[in-house]
Amino acid sequence: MAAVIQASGLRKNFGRVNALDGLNLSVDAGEVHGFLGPNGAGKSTTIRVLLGLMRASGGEVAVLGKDPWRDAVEIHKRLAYVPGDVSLWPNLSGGETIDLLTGLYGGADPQLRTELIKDFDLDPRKKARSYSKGNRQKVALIAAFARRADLYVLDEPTSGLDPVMEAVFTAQVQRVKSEGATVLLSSHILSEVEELCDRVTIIRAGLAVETGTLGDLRHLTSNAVRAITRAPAADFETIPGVLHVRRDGDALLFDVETDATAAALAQLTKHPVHSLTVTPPSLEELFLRHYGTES
Amino acid sequence: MLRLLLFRARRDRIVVPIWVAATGLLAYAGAAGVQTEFPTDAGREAVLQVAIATPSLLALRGLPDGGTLGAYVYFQVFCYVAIMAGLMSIFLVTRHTRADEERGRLELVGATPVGRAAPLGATVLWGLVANLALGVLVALGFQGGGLAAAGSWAAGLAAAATGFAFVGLAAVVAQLAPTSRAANGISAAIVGAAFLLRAVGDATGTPDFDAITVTSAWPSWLSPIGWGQHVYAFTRADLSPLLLSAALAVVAVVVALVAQSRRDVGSSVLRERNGRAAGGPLLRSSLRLAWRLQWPGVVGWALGGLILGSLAGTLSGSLTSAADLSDQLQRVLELFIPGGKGQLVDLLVIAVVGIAGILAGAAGAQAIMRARGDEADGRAELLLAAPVHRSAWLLGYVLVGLVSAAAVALAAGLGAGLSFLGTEPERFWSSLGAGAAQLPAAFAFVAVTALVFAVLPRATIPAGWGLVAVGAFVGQFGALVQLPEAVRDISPYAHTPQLPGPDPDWGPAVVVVAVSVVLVALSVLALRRRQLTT
Repeated sequence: MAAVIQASGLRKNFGRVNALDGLNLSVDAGEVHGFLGPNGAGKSTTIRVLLGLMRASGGEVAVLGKDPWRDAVEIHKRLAYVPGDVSLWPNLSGGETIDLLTGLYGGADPQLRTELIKDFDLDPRKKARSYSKGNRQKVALIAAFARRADLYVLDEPTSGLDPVMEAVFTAQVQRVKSEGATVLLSSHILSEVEELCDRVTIIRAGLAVETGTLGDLRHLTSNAVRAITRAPAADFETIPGVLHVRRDGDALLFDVETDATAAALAQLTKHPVHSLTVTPPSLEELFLRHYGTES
Repeated sequence: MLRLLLFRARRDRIVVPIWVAATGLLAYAGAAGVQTEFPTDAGREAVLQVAIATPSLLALRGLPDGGTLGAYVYFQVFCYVAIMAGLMSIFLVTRHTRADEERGRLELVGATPVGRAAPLGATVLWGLVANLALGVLVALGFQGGGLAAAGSWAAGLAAAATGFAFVGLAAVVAQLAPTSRAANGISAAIVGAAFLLRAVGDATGTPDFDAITVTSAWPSWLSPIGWGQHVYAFTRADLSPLLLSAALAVVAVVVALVAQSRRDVGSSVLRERNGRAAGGPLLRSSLRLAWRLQWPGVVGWALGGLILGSLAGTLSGSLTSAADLSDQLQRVLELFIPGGKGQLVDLLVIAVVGIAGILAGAAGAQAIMRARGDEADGRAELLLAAPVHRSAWLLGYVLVGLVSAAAVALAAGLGAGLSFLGTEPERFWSSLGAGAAQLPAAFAFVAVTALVFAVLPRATIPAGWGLVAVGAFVGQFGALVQLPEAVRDISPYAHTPQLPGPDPDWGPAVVVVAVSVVLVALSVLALRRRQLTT
């Protein structure tokens, strides 16, 4: 069984609002799968359905080969979860909360627990009431990583962390991956996904609009070229696959699809070129491509 | 400031009108009920003679001042009107001060160009407005119930002034307490203490049998509720005691404003200690979590029960315990003590522990409300994403609710039992039994709240408190306002076995328990079918 999470045609409506509108999502065993989308795209709703906290209105869904609504408890034994908006019991200390949450799964690995508290730089004696958002998130992350699970479901886990803590988080995801676990990482922080994820699913308005490796997705877009050259813009406009040709003083700028790169470069070298930069698309641009057209 | 005031009014647009209307209704029902039950001065005087002769009854009601209709109504209901005003005021103040500060909302407002003390000032003004509204409704309630206009408005003013004194006190407490929960707890204890002080002062006062009055002892003068009573709105209409309430409110508000404008945001005089770094073996399941969250509250509720219960023995000294009661006296007593039959001391124990029974129901229902709080704030998601069955999760809270209720009811029974040790030690076990007899009714509140939680989660908290309030009203005042028997029987408290007494009837209580078990089972089934709702 390769797919740890398998959802097809997943629908969820709240009254007349369709939060999920036929979502397809497939996460393979042992991969770190990025789940990208802007706020309100349906990421958290999907995750709640996967956890059996909400019931799907339609479609097929299986987590670890089981129905998440019927077999929630069986599935939960094998997973760890960090919610997007971590809310804790105000009068429990951080340490107590970690032990409560791991205790429900049968207990933490004590050595891991100690290491994680040190790495994440958490004061476990403070009451949760006094924790900032980042510290509450650390508590949930420590509780999730302090025991071994088959599937880690992390809903925007770093939105409150500083860059140093993000590095600690990245190291933990890499550790559990090397131990063979599967990770579903929802995010709108692109650098984090670029660094960690094997494959990515992009979701918009309750629908998966793109899925694949980062390489696959880049294939769909174009490199940006900036050259200091006297070459006339008109020569490039006729090449198929070259777009948005424009001039900015000495600089000639255009976008080129991967397949047309050779033709565009051949045309460029016909004139003296003083400087040339070719920029691959960032995930930011992938995002803009999917959401930019909306407004 | 005006904007902040209007903003508070907007946030409270549902809860404050409910408090105000319920208090007005209490005034109306009290006046109308007395009028139908005792239409003549002579009848009322007969009742008051009994009350004066058995001061412990005064502890539960107030200070008599002759048998005229208005005086009698004021004696019967003013203390409870004042408690309502006090509770409305403290919750209002905490909600807009410490709770806002704790949640970081004060920071949001504090960053805008308003003065450091402006939010507190707006809260106090809003408290004043709410209490004036409550006063108006109380006055209209009394007037609508057939009482004289002048007296009704004096009574309304007394209620408003008493409530405003508690606004001031709660404002100071909100400066001291580190959390909104602690602030509400301390302030509620202050309201309770104000009631107890006047209870002791009234019960140990000097009676005048000819004029049918009681001059209270000094403890009543330590209580804002006592000051309100001394207005005697329908007879002497002496507003001067309200100057004390106003002075207390002003001093307290000034202290709170000075403290607020001098201290850091988020700081408090009482400090929250650090917790333990590890959960220990006791915090490993949702049941234990429920207990861990609930027990500090239970200790508070149980202490309240213990103190309340100990009133029984303390006040029983004046009662003639051996005397069998004449029929007329019996009828009078039933008005004070719902369903009471038998010896006076028995009735006193039933009455006092019966009030603790309401606390027990509230403590039990509160456990279920915690489950709802966890769900609404997203914490339940953390638990239910772990291998925790929903049924186990809910049943944990039901169990904790039952244990809480038992702790409070038995603490009251224990308090009553201990208070008799010096005089009538044989009453120890029967008093404890009186505590145990409260459990079926308290269980019913746990079960009904659980069902609401499972079926209509968003209604859990208002419905939970509302049910306790209605149950308490029907139990305490049902006979007085002459509710039909069928309506009174809906309240689980109507089926509480009368212990101590010659023949307690356990049959109805068994039915209450059986119904509660069914309700819990239904709520487990319903919860398994519904999804989490924030």
